[in-house]
Amino acid sequence: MSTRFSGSLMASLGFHFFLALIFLVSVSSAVMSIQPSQSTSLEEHKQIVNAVAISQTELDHEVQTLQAQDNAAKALAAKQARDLATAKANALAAIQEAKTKQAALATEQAAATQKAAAQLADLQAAQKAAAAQLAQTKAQAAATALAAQKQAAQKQAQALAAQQAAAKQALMAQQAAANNLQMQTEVNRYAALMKQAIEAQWTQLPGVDQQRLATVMRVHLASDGTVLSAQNVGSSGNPALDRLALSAVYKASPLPVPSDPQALALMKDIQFNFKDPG
Amino acid sequence: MKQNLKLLAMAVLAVALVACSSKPKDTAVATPMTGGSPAATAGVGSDADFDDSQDARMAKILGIEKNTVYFDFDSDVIKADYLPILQANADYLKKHSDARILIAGNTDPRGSREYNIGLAQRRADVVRQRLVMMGVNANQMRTVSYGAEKPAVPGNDESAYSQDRRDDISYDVVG
Amino acid sequence: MKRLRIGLLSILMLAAFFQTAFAVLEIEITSGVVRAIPIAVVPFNPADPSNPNDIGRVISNDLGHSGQFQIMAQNRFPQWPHQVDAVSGDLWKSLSLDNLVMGNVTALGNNQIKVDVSLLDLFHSSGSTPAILSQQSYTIPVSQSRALAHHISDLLYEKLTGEKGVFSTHLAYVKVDPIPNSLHKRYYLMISDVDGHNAKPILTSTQPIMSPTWSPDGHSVAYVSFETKLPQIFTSNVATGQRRLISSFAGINGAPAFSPDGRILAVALSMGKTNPNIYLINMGSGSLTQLTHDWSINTEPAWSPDGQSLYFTSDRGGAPQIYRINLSTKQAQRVTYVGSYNASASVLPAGDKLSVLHRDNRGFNVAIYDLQSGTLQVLTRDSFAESPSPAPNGRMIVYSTQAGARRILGMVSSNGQVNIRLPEASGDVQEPAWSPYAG
Repeated sequence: MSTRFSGSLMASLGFHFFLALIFLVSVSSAVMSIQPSQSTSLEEHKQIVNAVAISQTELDHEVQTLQAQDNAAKALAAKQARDLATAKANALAAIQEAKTKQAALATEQAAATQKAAAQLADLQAAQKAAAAQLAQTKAQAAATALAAQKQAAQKQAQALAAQQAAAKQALMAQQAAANNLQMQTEVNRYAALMKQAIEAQWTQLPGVDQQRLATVMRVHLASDGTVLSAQNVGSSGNPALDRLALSAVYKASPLPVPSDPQALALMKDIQFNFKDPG
Repeated sequence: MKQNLKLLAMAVLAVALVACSSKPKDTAVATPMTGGSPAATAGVGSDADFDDSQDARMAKILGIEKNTVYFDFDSDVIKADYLPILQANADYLKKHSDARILIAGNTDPRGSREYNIGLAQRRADVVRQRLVMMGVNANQMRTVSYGAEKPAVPGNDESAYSQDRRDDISYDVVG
Repeated sequence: MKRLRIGLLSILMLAAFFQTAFAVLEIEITSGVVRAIPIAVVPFNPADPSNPNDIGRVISNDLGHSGQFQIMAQNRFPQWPHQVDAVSGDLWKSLSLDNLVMGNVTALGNNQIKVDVSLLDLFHSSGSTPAILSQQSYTIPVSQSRALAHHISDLLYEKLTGEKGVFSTHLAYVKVDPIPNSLHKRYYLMISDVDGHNAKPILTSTQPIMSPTWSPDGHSVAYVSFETKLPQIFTSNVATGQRRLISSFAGINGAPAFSPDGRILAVALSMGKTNPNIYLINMGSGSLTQLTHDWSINTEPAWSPDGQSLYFTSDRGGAPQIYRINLSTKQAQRVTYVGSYNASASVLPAGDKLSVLHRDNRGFNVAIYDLQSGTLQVLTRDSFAESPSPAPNGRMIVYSTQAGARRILGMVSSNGQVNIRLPEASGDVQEPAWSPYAG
């Protein structure tokens, strides 16, 4: 159990590390950050399936664990959103700063131009050509600086947009994974409920040795869980025991089914393997 | 080895007897049955078996109340209380060489019936051996084990059981 | 289990990433509820509550006593159909009933009757129309009603459990009637249907009768008779009553047991000594073979189903326990080690368990001894049980027990879950022996 927890913790930490990376590196590397979240959900799949095969109590515990993990994922997404907001604010502040700097520079340049004009008037004709040239040079320099600043601001804005897009993509992937997890949790929960419902109806005859005997029932369900058909696709070799398995399926109808359409789609055609482990 | 040969000889003889099935004894008493097909129902034994007067007569002759030896639970030890009874029988048998007795061992009704047959045979044989020690000719005595088949009194408590664990000594009717 | 996990995982992966299920979700159903099959037997038309041989009632009792069926009480019936068309499946399904038995009896005159019987399956489909599992029609003399009812019970039992029923088998037992105002008794060797009905004596005696046992063909019983005041072993033909003396050696002649092929009778003989040993009597040649040779009690031989070995009771270890002797090596070894008293062994048909009479601090009870695990399960709580004898399918064990001042027959399922008592009108009933199928 503890290894599973630390596994998800590591995955979470890893995800955050990648998120931090997104803000520093390029768009393509930000896309790569989906990978760790996928492997996280794979880990979780394994856990879920483990749970199905085990007991009800353990299953309950697993569901709790999954819910905790689900919560962690939600918290993660929230944190990401918060991080994104912070990043947005930071970018906006940077643009504002650039604008302010630009404005200050313009004021300064205007003052310089005025000063140069006054000097030009004072110096009169002898320095006229030189003064004119100087003024032109200064203006050019200022324009170049402004253009450079503009370009930098634009580039920053582009980077920000890319970061925003990457962050949004990561968030969506995370949400998809969370939805997926939720669906699997539903399937597993209802698989356990179906097992319970059928086992409660499965009559095992006193003293009749059912070890080594297995009956396989293929069952088709309506959307409300009603058993539409049940077919014996694997006989125990004892028709009486096969019949008891069939009765159990029909007696348990309607079976509990998930409301989630994806999960339901997965459970409409289902196979029950009746087997007494002895 | 000699013992085994002797047993084998006895067995062969016995089987031969069985095979011939020439059992002339016992009057067959046809008992009409209700509900059953009388043709399929054989009646055996004799209602004379229900007559206890001979045993009562013999007890009077021997000067004892009842010709019975009782045993403790799971025991085939003859208690001193019953030695006078055995002595009275020994004296009579030695005096009457034509007299014959049947020593019948019994257990209380609990447990396996066939195992009880084994246990009660020990009780019968222990009395027979004591009478031999008292000088009685072994040919005058037969033993049988009835196990739990003939409880002395009905009931399933220790007071009943203590009466069931017994040897009954009965004299063959002579003449 | 591992395979399931991986299978389920891959299914979930497929569903998650391709939104397409290539394989069906599989769920393992591993632990049902051990219980009897809920069934209703509608009294056959015309129902005759005063007739003890009413076919529907006999079937209902048979199935109920088997322990494999839970018979629905008539006051819970939602309807009383006699034809399949008249059955409203939903009415019965709502009562969680699995199966329904119904039938008709038609008088044909000349003491002949026609009996129609149907067995329905209610949960065979999503529809409300029940499926017909079995439908039979018989024409019999009215006197055969009970026998036919038992035959139908066998058929239903096999259809619903997959195992052969034992309702047409018989019991042999000893009945003991007290003689009024006396300690003497009259002894009867009885044969009855397995439900205790149609009891009739095939031998009466003024001296004890003991240890009846069936020949494997069910045609005759071997028993011990003390009719000469000394024990002898006889066989009697059940149908004709014809008797044959088998063993009349000095001392104990007891505990007969037929070999599975019926050719040999194992017996306990003391040969004029105190202790009985196990012998084999060849029923054809009369030849005798001694199997055990010691100075303890050796009795109650019981054949293994393969005829290769015998189980028997011996107190060679100080207290009665079950031993087994291999007939080819003649080597005996102790079998039971649980408790201080195990006797009267019979081997269950599968050969893997013994029914025994076991004594513990509660008294004498019927128990099952598992030969593989060496464990013992006490089945009864009677304290005065004796002579356990298993049914030919091994599902039930008949035995004798104390009820008040009398001995009666009881039956217990070999898992201990069902325990019934067969009442007898009078006297003590003891030493029951369950017949083979043929009997």
